[in-house]
Amino acid sequence: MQNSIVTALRTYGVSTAAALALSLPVSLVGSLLGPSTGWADAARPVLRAGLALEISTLDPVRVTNYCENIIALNVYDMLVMPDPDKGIVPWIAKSWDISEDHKSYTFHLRDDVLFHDGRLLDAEDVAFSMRRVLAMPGLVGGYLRNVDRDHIDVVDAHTIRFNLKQLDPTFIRALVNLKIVNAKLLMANKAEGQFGEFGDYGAKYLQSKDAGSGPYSIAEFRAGEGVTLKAFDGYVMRKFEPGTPREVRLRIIPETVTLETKTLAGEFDLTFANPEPARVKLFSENPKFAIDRWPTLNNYYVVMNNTKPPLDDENVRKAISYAYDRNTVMNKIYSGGVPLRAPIPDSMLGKCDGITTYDFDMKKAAEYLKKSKYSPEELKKFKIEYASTAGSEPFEKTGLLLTLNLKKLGLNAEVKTVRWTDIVAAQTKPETAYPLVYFFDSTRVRQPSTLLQFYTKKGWGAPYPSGGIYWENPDVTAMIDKAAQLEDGSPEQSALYCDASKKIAAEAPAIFSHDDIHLQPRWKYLTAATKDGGSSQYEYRFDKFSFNTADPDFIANQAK
Amino acid sequence: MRFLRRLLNMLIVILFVSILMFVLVRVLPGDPVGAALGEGATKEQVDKFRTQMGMDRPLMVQYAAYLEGLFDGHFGPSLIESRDVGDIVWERLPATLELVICSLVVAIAFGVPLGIVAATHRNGPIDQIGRLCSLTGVAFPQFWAALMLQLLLGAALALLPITGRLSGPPPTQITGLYLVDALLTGNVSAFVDAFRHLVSPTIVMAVGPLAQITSMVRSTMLDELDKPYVSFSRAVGMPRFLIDYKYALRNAFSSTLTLIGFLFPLMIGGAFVVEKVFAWPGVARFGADSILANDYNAIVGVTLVVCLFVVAVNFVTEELYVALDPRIRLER
Repeated sequence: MQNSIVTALRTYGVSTAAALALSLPVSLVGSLLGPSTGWADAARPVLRAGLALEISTLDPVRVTNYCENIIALNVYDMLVMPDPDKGIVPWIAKSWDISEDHKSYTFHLRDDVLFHDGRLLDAEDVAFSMRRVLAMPGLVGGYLRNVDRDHIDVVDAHTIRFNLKQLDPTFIRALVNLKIVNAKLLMANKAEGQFGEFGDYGAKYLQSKDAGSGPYSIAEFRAGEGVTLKAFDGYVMRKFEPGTPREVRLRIIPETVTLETKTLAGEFDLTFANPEPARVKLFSENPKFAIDRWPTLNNYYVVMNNTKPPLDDENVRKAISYAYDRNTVMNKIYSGGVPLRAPIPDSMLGKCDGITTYDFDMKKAAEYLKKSKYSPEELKKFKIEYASTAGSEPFEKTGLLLTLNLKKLGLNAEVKTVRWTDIVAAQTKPETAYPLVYFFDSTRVRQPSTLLQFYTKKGWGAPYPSGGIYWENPDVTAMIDKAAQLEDGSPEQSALYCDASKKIAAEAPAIFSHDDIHLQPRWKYLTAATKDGGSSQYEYRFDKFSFNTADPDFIANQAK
Repeated sequence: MRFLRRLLNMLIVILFVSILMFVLVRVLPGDPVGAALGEGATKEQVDKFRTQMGMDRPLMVQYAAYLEGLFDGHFGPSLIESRDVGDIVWERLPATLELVICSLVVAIAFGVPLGIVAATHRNGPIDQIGRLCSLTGVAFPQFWAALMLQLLLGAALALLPITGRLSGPPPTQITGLYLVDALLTGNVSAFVDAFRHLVSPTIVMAVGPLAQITSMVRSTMLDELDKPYVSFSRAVGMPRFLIDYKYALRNAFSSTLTLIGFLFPLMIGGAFVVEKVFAWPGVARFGADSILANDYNAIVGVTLVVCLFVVAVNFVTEELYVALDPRIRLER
């Protein structure tokens, strides 16, 4: 044991003599305390991973952060499944018909899907789930807000029709966020609440339990500690292959360094959160680890308040865009990325030539500033605050880099650290919205109009950073409205989104930074996600993961 | 009568803190509702949720409803977890209490003897080392110490768990303090498991208070040992042990008791760094997250609980003064 202590201490830069001296008492204490012991069952492998954010709810309607989303998408099923290559594929819905006016959608459901309590899923459950989503406040309700709650028709046990209040090109894609809940189970467990005969719609029950039909069920939930999922043997949508995790233990580890330490120590099989660029080599230089990398659809922007001087001047906005050192942000502050040219990433936009880009160029920035309607003296007087979300180091670093460059141009820019809640509140009014806000949009509904809406009056004042842009161009609004009436994904629709993107980029109402690269360090015995899942976190459906159960590291780590 | 008067004072303090916190969190900028609903929320949904939470009513009406709820044991719903803050606080409080109590016990158990030895061996090697350690202990960044312990004892040596409160199933809940519950139910494996998880965070939490207690005991003991009664006692041949521990320590301990009284609630409120690094599911971490999320009821709830401990510990400390020094009672 002492040898391992000395080796470990040497790894952390302690001299051999000091390591030897320190190892003696430590090994003595160690023999008294003794390490924990366990055992590995190759037939029922356990996936162990850490979550960097708190799990505040298990209710699929209330999930907001990515950790809660990972749990929800493993416990519940959806009508449609996102697919990285095909966009959307049938899932619980075998097929669907769309009316001529694109306002009525009829879904034909599978008849063999079981909930975790053994009951068959039917159209009433889907209707209940949709009504619940629309009645309860939450993120998902926002995505499906155009569904007419009073006209959800259960045609028969396996057919359901949704009617839209207005055209919504995002509807089908937004359905990946509708998790189907077991209506009878929730009604049997409803508590007192504000929804009349539905009580609390089972909200209290879903704080710690599940009512899903997904590949995993919730075996245990301890607030502040984590959640344990068990494979659902009655799952018909995909067979559990040998090596597929039969149990998933997700533990909340708010500190990312600790999370990485636990992964390196073999207590976790992978990490969901990107390691900091400086710490990537801890994994890349370790022969037992592999790092998967893939571009995400986390779109990073620096949104500008276009009503606040001097940002009401297009030339100033262009100068700021040129002063933004995208490559340094992507490659030094983050671990790589794919540049954004417009609000919509190229992977969603498709081929679209002629978009104005603003590659880092301080000379051009100075030239545009000279063209400004404001004199250099006037420009100095305007305070340009960059709001950095409290607790995010990369956001602050990006702000420091940008404001430093803006100061070189003679602008009075500074970084202000603000809580997310305060940013969200400030953006709802043009007079309070911050001049510059850096953030990322994870594009949970992968349809261009969700990102473009903030460049029309419809998106003004939304409680979100993009709600504080306050920019519009009537031509752009007309194009987006027209695209909404066309078949989703059609060439005509894509052309309109392309034209709208060109017009937006030409006036630089925001800095379109980049999509980041996701880094996933994992032990080599685990085959996990290798590319984006087609919608937020869908790459983390654990039933697609697989262990090499013969690997000695797997056996050793499962016992930890 | 004195007891009732003090109890009334405590209630007034708590009421005042509740009003102050209730008003402060609501008048400061920030929109917790918009943030709680996420990026897809529309203005209409935000307004609807605000109405559901009663936030559209006048502040006085909101406070009256809050106070009414408090008397029924409800702290109001959390915006983040959509359940009563009281439930969350009582669920998480034992974890923090267990950690703080263990840390304080360790700090007192080591700090008091160290302080005495340092004072009785003034300017000697033990005193010098003790002072150096105290200074280092006070200046120790908890965050760094926690990560180093995790790397050494957890990752490199695999002696202790890196994070968490328990690896196996918890003991049957009686108090919520795992060590106590495991003992009461005779669950040895849970006791060992909980103990192993407590070691690292306790060390990190105890280092600062230990240094402060050592320093306080040393300085007050030195003052006491310089007094004439000590010289007289030595002159008449009274055993040194008796002078140091029975008379000098007892007289010197009031200041240390005050310090311990302050440390306890401070440690509850300040445990969030240790709770975060060790993924300890305590109330301090919840409180820190609530501030970032501007979760009104949660901020007020956690503050009230910490305030409750401040006044309760203050109450107990003052009673202990009387036990230590009967003159205090006579002076009242």
